[in-house]
Amino acid sequence: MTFDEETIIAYVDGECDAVTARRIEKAMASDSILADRIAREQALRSRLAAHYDPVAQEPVPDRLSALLTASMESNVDSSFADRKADEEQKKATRRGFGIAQWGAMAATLALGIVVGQFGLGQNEGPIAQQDGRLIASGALETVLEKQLASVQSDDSRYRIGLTFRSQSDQICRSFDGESLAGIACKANDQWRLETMIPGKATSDYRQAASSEINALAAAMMADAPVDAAGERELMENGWK
Amino acid sequence: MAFEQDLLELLPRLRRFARSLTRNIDDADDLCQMALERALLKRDQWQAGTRLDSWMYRITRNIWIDTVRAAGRRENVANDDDAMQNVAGDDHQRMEERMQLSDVDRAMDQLPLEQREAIVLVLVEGFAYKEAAALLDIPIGTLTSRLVRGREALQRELGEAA
Repeated sequence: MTFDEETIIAYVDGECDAVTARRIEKAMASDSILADRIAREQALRSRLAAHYDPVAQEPVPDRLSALLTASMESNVDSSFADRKADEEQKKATRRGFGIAQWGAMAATLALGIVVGQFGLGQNEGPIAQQDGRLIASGALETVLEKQLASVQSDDSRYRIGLTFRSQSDQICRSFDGESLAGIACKANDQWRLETMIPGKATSDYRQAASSEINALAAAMMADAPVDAAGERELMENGWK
Repeated sequence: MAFEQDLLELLPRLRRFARSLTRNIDDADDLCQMALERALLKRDQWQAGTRLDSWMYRITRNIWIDTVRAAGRRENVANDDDAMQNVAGDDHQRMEERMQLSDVDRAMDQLPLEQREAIVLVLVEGFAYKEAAALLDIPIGTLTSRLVRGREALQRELGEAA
């Protein structure tokens, strides 16, 4: 009995129905050419697997895994629909003393340290005080005002994270820097600092800091974070 | 979060797939990076409950095809592979790379892309015919005929090399 090429390779690839497989096996017992033929195909499979499998055993380069871990940290709620669906649950949490409150409390505690480091009233630092409010100044203010998250360079002192409209209808942006991370919202031509925590280079830095900021941002959002085009549009309109 | 976690777990296999398409370590990791970036961007298009690996492989493979086309890179897309022309080609670096390839690499390198991807998905990545055909958007009959031709060419190359 002869089998066509398709049937032979389907057998080797485990794609044959049971009846055909039995017929092939029966024929192989008396047909050494067929048996050799199948052995060769099986050997090819093994040879290719042996050649490529070690790639899957190699350690994954950092630049690839970092892409995913960074996304895990920055993606608070990738889908606004999902966020809405979770809204009830979040509200329930907020009614108690939820993550937002704890986060805000941690931020408040941290603020003492940060303000202590920069010294209020010296306007060269990233924080200034005006009418009893803390506002961004210097390099931080420039980044908040002029930097698009989509085109920022790695060597900037502050990196912009999310840009979103808050429930109090202000445009807010999260930022991350060596000494300071937080959220600022635009009001009366100033970037008011809503939340601050110590940045990466400080001794008070915690690994969870950026996800903490993201959680706080999520609690403030009226809508999903804007995309690159929305961000550009907002900048052109003075973040209103 | 689970999405990224699943991608992390898939990454070793994805690198293997990319390596077999590009036949070059750096190209393969660049390809993986582009595929991951696109996947993160289009994560809403992935339907939970469907196979994430198929979806990722499809993205990866489509980017590679675009890259090959955009670069006008010599890639044996057509069936009439002319080995002599490849050797006489002006791409000196590529020739040197070829000389360092193992037998399997060299044999795979000779395959038209459409046969190579079919071979890789079924023989290396272990996809069922039905899954591989769906991933490549081709009928099963087309897939099996590519598998037959690809295997014949590999047996010819590797039989002589062995």
